[in-house]
Amino acid sequence: MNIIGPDTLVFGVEDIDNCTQFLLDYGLEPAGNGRFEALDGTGVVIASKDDPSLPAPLQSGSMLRKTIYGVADQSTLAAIADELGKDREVTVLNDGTLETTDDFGFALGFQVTVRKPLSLSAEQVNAPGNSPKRGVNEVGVHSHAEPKPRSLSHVVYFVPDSVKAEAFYADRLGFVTSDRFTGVGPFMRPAGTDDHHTLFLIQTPPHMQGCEHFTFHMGGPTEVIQAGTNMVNKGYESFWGPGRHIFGSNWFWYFKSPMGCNMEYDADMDLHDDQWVAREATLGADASQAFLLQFREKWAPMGPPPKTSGQ
Amino acid sequence: MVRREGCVYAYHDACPHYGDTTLPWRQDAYLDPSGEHIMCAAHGALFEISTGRCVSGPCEGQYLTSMPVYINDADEVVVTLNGTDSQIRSDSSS
Ligand code: FES
Ligand SMILES: [Fe+2]
Repeated sequence: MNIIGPDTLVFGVEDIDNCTQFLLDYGLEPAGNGRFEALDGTGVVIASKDDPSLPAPLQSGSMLRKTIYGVADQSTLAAIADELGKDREVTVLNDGTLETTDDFGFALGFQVTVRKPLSLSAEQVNAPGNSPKRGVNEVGVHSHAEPKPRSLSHVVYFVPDSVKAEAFYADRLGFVTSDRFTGVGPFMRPAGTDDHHTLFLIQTPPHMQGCEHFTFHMGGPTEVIQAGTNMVNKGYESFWGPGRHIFGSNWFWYFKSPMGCNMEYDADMDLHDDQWVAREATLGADASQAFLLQFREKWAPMGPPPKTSGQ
Repeated sequence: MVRREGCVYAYHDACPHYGDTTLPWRQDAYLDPSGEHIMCAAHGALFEISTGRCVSGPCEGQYLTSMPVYINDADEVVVTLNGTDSQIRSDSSS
């Protein structure tokens, strides 16, 4: 099944104003009707938690109300409707998208993807031994940059049974497991992308079912850290990062959000194909990051200004 | 520190779910939108203001670590940190 990845995450919230401000400060562009978009048109929708057009909430009260996947074409959409229609209701909404649920009640949508092809350069790095990547006289850093999220990368669920959840996404929707934390859950990618993961499942007690975090791809590590620094300077609180994961190699920086889950910036994720053999590790501080940095207010190693002569 | 119905409560700013993360999504945003509970924004845990007990969310049944608070003769709110008094002062009328 040619599923590309999440196109849109839909949240039902109480505090629409704060969620709106948070998403604008994060760097998404307002697209009207509560929709906020990254550069490629993927994004987040914020609605009132009582909005009758939203699927029913999970028992846990998670504010994530729906994950809408982008698929390659109409025939993929039809194949999904056939497959999931075997044992559950699949509704065709007025806009032509499909709506249904996974085996644990997470609401899913499917649509022909809204992703616009992007043509942007990534962070360019110069290093001895490699031909210059950034041209002569091109500077690498602009101190007041406000980097923009490029594309919705992945969503992470707390699930009551990660084995059963993995089986659903693998057997019914063709996701492949890239790597796995033993006893915790898999990093999975659908057939239409090479990204290490668009979905990560974390096993938890049932009352926790919900969204752990979601993430947009940035143009490189500098963009992750500059965007995160801008968030800190606006008064938002870091949850974890900046750092670099081992599984997926993605740079990360997580922020708490008024959507009741973390919202991350990531960059430079590994790509995989059928040749890749999934790794497995025990979850812990060592296995989850290559290194972890901690934000500190700007400081420089300088003494007081030199005394002027004659004083 | 939260003031509610004439009482002041102080808790250590660390969520029992993961232990080493602060609660708010923005500086000082410690309450949920209704103002009824202290909230950890990371995964939406809600805590009773008066007891610090998690009533909903991943760490349900666990407690925030409370800190002794009293109001001194000068009408200041005094919190005891690590067994030492009066590290944090704020006018109780504000
Ligand atoms: S860290 Fe506070 S709810 Fe998870
Ligand atoms: Fe992530």
